[in-house]
Amino acid sequence: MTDKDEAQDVANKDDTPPPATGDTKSAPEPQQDSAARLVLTLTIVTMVAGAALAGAHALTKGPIKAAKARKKLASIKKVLPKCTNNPVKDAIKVAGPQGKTEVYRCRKKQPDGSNPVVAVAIEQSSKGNKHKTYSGLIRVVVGIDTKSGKIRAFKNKKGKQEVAVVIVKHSETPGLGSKATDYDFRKVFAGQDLKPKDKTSKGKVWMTTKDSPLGFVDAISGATITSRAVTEIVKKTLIVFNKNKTAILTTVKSGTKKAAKTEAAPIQEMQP
Amino acid sequence: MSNTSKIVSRGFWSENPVLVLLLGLCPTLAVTTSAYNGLGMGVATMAVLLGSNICISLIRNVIPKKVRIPCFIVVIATFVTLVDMLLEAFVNNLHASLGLFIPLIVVNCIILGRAEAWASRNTLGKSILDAVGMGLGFTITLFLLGSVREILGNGTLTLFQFQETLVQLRFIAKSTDPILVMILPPGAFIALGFFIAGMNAIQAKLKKKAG
Repeated sequence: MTDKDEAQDVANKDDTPPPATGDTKSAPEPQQDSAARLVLTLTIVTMVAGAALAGAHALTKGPIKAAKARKKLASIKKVLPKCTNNPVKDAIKVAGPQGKTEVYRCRKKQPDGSNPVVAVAIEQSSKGNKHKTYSGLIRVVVGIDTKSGKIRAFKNKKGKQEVAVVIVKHSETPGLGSKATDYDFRKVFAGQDLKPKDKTSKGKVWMTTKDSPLGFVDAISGATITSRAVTEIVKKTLIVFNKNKTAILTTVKSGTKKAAKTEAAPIQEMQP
Repeated sequence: MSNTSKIVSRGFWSENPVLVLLLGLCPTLAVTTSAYNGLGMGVATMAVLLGSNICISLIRNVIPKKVRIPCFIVVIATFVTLVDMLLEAFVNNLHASLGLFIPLIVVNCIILGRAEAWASRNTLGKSILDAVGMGLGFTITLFLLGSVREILGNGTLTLFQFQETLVQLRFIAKSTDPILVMILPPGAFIALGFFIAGMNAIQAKLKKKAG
């Protein structure tokens, strides 16, 4: 008996089906499997699987891309006022704490015919945060009013007070860290810029009340870590805006001809 | 006929994947923080189970025994990826709320377990029935587990959730603190323990009655 036969015997023993609870009549007979047959079967199975996946990929590539773009536009629209342009198409890339960052610009036609940027949406994540999240990545989209440089506060469609801070992705503990998505927590960011103030216009710093007596963010009880992380992310979006303010306001995006034409006037005015 | 209903009903009670076979505990414990999460995971798992059971039952006589496990894994992984891509492309809303759980299904041992113990030994029809029974049993168990944990741990019962739309019942007033531990990892073990104990107690009583 060769080694190979022995191995096969052992394998066959292992493979005898246990007394199954159900029907075993149709179980296949033990086959004499040559190495070539094994290799061939596995190859065919993986090739068919690969072909099926490749086909499905080709089929779903377009719709997935469109769906992603729709989703992005929806979260950006949430933090911006009504725009005369498409903020996603009119986005520019600027340098930020997380490297190249896209800034989505919202323009509004003025009575004088100009079409300036009135608000921007900036997304930042917890990547590179000093204050880590509790689990996974948190991504936040913040809407900033370009005139005042402050985080937008507005009334939503239902007439409820809202703040332009949207947590688009997180995997914090439900019931604890997930409370960061509630308006009760987010409202603290309304109308703040890099020099935050409390209700009595007293100067504060970008920290939670737990970390500094000057902090203005009231941390969620039981989720201080999440509160710290979100606070830092929101601050980062403001840093991106302030560092690139001129670029954001003046850059004309090539390819958006219409926007470029209506925009030409204000740019010339701004140049010294 | 009685055989058909027997195959399907096994998944609910006598061979309930979570409470009796104790298979797929990883997703069970991890995602049942809310009723809706449990339901989503259950439905996604059932879809993959159905697909893989059908495929494996069809190719069961062609696959040599020695390479059957790798073949099953390839079939299951392909199905999970297919479901993931199709959902993302065509039912994006659903994908947004289930997205996290779908890749997890590959490592769910119920799928491989049913492929090995049932679909690779039975006809197509019986394999489909088995997938439906097991899938429904898994879904219902996860939904109940998620409901209990969410009601106790968060005071709510989420039936549907997508972006702004939220169908939620509140059981404990917002001002009262719920039993937070129930939606944290230890709560999963506690709840599952009580579920299994309860099931065994009922089983014992039924036996006494019958015997």
